[in-house]
Amino acid sequence: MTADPGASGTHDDPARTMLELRDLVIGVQAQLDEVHARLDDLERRMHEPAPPRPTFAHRVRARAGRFKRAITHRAR
Amino acid sequence: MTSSPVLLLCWARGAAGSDTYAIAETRASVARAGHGLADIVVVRNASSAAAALADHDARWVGFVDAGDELVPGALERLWSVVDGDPTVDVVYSDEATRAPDGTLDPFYKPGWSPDRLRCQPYVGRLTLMRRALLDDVGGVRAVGSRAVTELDVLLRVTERARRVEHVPTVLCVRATGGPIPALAPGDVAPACGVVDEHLERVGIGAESQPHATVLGLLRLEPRLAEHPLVSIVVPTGGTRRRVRGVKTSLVANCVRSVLERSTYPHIEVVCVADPSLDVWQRRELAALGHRVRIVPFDEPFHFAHKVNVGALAASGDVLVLLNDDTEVHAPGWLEAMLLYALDPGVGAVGARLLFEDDRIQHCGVVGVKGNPGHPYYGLPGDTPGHGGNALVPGNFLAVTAACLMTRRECFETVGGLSTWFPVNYNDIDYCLKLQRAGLRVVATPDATLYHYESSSRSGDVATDELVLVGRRWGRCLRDDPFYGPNFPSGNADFVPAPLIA
Repeated sequence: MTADPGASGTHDDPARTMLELRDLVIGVQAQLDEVHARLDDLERRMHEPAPPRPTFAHRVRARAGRFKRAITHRAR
Repeated sequence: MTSSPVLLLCWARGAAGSDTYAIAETRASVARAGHGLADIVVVRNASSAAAALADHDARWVGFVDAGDELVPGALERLWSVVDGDPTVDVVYSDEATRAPDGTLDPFYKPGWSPDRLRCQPYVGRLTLMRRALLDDVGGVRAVGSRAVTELDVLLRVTERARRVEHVPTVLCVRATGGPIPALAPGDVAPACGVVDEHLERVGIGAESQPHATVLGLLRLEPRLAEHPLVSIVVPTGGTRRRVRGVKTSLVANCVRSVLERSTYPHIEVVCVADPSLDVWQRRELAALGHRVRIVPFDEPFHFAHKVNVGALAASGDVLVLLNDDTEVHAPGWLEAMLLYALDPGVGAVGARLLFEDDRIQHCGVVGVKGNPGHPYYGLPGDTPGHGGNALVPGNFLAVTAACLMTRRECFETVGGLSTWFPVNYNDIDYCLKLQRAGLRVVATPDATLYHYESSSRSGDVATDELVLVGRRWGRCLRDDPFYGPNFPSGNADFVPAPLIA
């Protein structure tokens, strides 16, 4: 959304223009709130401790699990 | 006197000694749920509840029934909400009932919905109220059975509460109850009296009556003190289509139904017409009388612009935005909506809309995974909904502008329908602007109309409108307090997540 009231008002009616400008103010404020919320969310996520990287043993176990599921599926 | 900050008043079920086991079970669950946060006192009626309150200096008060089970950590969960925020005066959680086979049937409640509480005691368990406020409003009064006493307390406390919070987690398994929270048949008449007193205190022009179809629910019969001029704004392009097998001018059909079936005396109809409205339809509208006006609209199709032009041309203090593909069904629809619209705390009121074959088209709008959705869309008209939410008036995130009543002052304050949404979502945006201004949105099933949806325009949704509504209101649509996080399916039908016993 571009903050350009003229984009939506191609008329000379002051009452309509007033409605559109009021809507624009609330719309811009709402969008700003959304942006702040996203920023807060990103900041919170950046400060969360990163999940531990899988170790060699984790990877081997995961691979064994996938292999086991695959052969069980084939046997069925 | 006790030092625990919470006092739970436990209603005994019958004669003394007959429910010892149930009370012991509740006591044990409270001990597990609170770790010293709460004391529990067994009470048999309102006067013993008042006496128990006088004997304790707890800062928070709640009710339970003998046999109710609090889940472990329940009180700590509620305490974490009220302890951190001095403005919260009431907090309530979700609840469940145990089916005969032992499975749990959850009732996931909406966020604070005062307009629903007047017709259904939906708040239930577990609720905590600030003791100081309870004392201020007169404490526990003897007005009837325990359910009516609780309703009376809750109505008086929430009238003055600064904030009412909802914790969307099941924290109590109730000993009794069904899928729809309702009063016992014998409690309906005294509950009507309690609600009538409340309506008088808050200045709502209505009288409480038993619900027409569901025993144990209430409905509000309008008794309006004032009858402001209601301007019904009908944007139209002059579309014709078959209605019940007959080719019909939608706008003429709509306006005729408004004028012939409405019982409200003070109406004007403002039809905002494209040049495509043909001369025959213009004559048909003119023949409907002096209460109908046609306002020309010579610009390219733009629903929001058309509505704004109509609203500005209208003279009433109350506006109804009405699609031309609707038809009035129940005569008292305007009174049923006005009853809420005249409440200064309400910004918009929506109606219950049905398809031609009586299936539900609209009974409120909820935010589902970031998108607006219509609950129970296409389901039979008598669908009760989750916890009966399709049967009683309630608060929603938004309502459709196919039939939306709003006060002119609200419409002008928030800038009318946003012209950034030419076709879709201007109604969602309008309702969210009102909620941002602190006003409630109500959908009432007591106003019923037919809606021959998308007859006048394409039913397609423009991607740019969807993107913009997400940019403006993404958070509100993702975290709709009236829908909550407990309905994981993406179809807005309040299908609850299973609860493990």
